[in-house]
Amino acid sequence: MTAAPLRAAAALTAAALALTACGGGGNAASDDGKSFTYWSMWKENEPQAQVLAQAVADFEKETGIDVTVQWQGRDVLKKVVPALRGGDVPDLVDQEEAGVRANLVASDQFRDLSAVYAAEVPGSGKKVSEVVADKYTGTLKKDGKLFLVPYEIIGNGLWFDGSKLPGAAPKTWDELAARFAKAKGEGRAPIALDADIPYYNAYWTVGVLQGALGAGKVDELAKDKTGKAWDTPEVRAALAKVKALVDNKYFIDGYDGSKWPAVQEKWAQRQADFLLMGSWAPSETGPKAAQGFQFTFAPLPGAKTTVPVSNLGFAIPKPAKKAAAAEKFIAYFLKDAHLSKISTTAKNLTPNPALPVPDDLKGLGAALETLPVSRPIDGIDEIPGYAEEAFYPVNDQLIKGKTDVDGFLSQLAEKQANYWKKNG
Amino acid sequence: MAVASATAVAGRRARRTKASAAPLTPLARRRRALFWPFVAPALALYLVFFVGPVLASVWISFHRWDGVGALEPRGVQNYEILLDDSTFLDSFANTMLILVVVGLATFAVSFALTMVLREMRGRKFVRAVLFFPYIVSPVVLSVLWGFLFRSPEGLLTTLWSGVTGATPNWLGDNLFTVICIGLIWVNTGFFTTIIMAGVDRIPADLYEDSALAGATAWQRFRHITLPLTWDVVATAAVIWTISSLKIFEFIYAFGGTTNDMPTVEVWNSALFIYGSTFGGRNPQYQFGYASASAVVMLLVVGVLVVLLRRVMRRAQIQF
Repeated sequence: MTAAPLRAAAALTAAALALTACGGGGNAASDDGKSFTYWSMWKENEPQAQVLAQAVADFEKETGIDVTVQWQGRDVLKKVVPALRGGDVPDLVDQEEAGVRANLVASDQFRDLSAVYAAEVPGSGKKVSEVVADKYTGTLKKDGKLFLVPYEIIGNGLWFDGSKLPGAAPKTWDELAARFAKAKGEGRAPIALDADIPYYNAYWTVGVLQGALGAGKVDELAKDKTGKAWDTPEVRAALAKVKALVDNKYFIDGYDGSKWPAVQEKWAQRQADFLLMGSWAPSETGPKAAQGFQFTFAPLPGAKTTVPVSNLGFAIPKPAKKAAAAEKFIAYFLKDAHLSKISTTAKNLTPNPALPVPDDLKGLGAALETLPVSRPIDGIDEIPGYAEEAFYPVNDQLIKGKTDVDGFLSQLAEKQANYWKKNG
Repeated sequence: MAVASATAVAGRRARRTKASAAPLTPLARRRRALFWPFVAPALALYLVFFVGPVLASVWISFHRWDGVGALEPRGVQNYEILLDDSTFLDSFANTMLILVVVGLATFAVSFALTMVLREMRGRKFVRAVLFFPYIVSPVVLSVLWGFLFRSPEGLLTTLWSGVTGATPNWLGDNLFTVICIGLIWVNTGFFTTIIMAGVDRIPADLYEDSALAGATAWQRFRHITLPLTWDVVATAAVIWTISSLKIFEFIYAFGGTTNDMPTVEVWNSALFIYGSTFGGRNPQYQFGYASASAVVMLLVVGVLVVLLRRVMRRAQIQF
């Protein structure tokens, strides 16, 4: 090697080193309990963000702990994951439990929040575990360790306009089917569905299956490596009910060729009777709703009716350096004064049953008092990639009338086996 | 022609004699001293930002890796699974479909437009308009396409049903076809511009001469335009091959929704890689597996480009 190439190689190495050094960003700050960083799933203009921002401001004033908030939006955890590998990890994050499970819990990158549950909510004389209803924390553990403290509960079910469809909520599937038939007979569309969203299509199929089999059973079927466990008389009967909805043309015209949110807005304009949706339906469609529209909730009925719910709450990534201060804030936010604003300002349910329930969600609140809970689409969307690659494509065909029960079962078996072959 | 090649041979011979001469001239020595300082910065950046990540991908592709924990060696298992994975194979088929069908259609339309525009007044303006979709964000376009094609109230759907009486379900039944049409529309402007630049170089008298000789429009295209723009077309074809394999945003934004990936039936290999890593509500984080598919695609691009260049190689025509 002559001098020139040698010099060049040296320069190259130096450049490469300089570049890698930029990426390191060594943060040696220790936990002095005086500050922490919070990355939020909300965008600054959302009502939840306003509630949280107010709580952060009060918390800073009362405790002197400095909170740096970044309003990251729904992809917050996708930004946390790369940071877990040597970067500035936030000390506190929030997201729906499914997201936390997939992004932090699956790779064991969460902090056990048992200590927070045992801590007192400042000024209330109650522990966090006494404020958050037990009903919701059942799914929030891994190996006995709690990974999430919820502050908002979302629930799924049928929504309809109480002012136009009076009478008790349908208690059985047959009652519901009769209502669909009646609506159809009277020239109204029974069901609104934005079928370009596979997740919403799955609400129907999995919802009916959950009603027939009970909570957690669909998740078991999805985890069968051969994909053949689905083929049972009970599953076939439930799928036939879904197929009948399609065959009877109960879904509003154009449901399978539209772009969200066109169809749910039609529902809010009273062009269809029912919408199977999460508890965000009133706030999401409210601005487009016809005058006098009364958002009313009923659980999707079945032999084993459940209410699919999901928790939105706080989690702490394992490498967080200032976890103690973050834990303090979690307990602080559960004070009635702050948590109740999730209900009054952000118009959502809180995990504390003692707090008021927003008017539009009264039915959901009542259903949650009596019925057992399950997970939305039974949690199959939490098996990473399973829903996208196996369940959704097959289910979309069923919902759009392009396959029947046999076709559904055979295609799903094939796709599911393919999925587990590479992920098993 | 003959003159040109003779000069080339002479040049080559001259260079060879220069290289073999033992003592370097002062100029050559200074040139040599400056070679590395000039090349090094670009080379360093290229190595760090392109070659490095590619090599890293190859390395990662032999492992199982969630992006956070330790790499777990897996040998060629990722590749074995990949070639047996129907999701990947379907995505790959879609990629090839886009490459060939959308590519051919784009070039056909681009040539047709070039022929029309060549003799048109105000063609610079028209060319700018045609180019427009290419610079608009694909996300914006996909929203627009949603308005056009949704059923039953989309603009095009309404128009179609007004004319034919039928209300087609574009997005429900023919999503991939609509995506392909969208891609043709987006890319036509770009390739028309490139091809027109080639056509503009052709002396007008060739066309006048052939017109006088009674050549039809097709004959003029076949015997003048195509041969004289062949090198431009060959380059454009390589550009298309490489860029078509990377198409992502248009499909993602058009087929997907706020939280979800598009349905797996319209995935191409770029979406497959995204779906295996960061995509969806609850990402898979299969970086090893996704790297394996990326490596396969890199090889495919390489082979295709080499083949394409061989197929399209022609003696250059001087004019």
